[in-house]
Amino acid sequence: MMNEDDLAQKIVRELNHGTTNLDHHTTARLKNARDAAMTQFRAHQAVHNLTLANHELSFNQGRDWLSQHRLWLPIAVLVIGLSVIAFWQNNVLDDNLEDVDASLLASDLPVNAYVDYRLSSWLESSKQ
Amino acid sequence: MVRIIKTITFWLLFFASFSAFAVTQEVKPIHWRDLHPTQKQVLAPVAQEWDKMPALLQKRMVGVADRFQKMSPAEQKRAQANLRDWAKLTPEQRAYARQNYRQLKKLPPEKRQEIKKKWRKEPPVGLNKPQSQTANAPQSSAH
Repeated sequence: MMNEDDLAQKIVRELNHGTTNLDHHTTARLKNARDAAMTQFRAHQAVHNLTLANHELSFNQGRDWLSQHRLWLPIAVLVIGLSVIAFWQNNVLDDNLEDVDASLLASDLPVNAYVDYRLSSWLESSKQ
Repeated sequence: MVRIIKTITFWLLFFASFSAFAVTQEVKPIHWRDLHPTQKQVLAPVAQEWDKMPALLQKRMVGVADRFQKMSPAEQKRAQANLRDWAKLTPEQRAYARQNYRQLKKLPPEKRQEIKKKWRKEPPVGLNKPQSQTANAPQSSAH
């Protein structure tokens, strides 16, 4: 019984025998087809490499941008944070102060009661 | 992507700088003639001294006038009666008064009434506040 290796060798022999006996017209057509396939493959490879390079360039640019702006990014965050605090102080605290002023002026004690040291000492003692 | 981050950062910085500049600007004086008729009506007791007042005090007074509509008629009457005395105080005295008012407000109603009653029983003559208390008053730039 013929094993698999023997069978494979026999097939290879038959194929080689077939190719050595090809006529000139057939070998020329095969060569042209191979050349055309190779040309197409090289063109495709070039486009692929270009795309890869472009991606890499973009990525590196992103990294460069981050490293270049490593210093001023925290500064930007700081400036924005301080602006938010300043805005909050200027608007929210002002509004609160005006609310307090309005209620204080409208309260049933006159203004001089609130600047009377006795009132604050009574307030202090009432806390204890 | 990088371009989007750059654009967002630029505009954030732009608005942050602009708002920081805007808030650090000094408060501009408010002229009596520029007030709304309803504000003028509320602030009438201080009309004479209005243009000589510090700009920040003017701003706070306008804030008070804008809250006038929310007050009851009795509160409106009291607020208007207090305006002149309020304008005469120093910024430190106003800060001290606010502090006392907040503390009084935090007390339970019965305790609050007790202190008010006590003060009414023996009100001071003028602004009863010794120098030592002025030194203890919170130092504030708020007018």
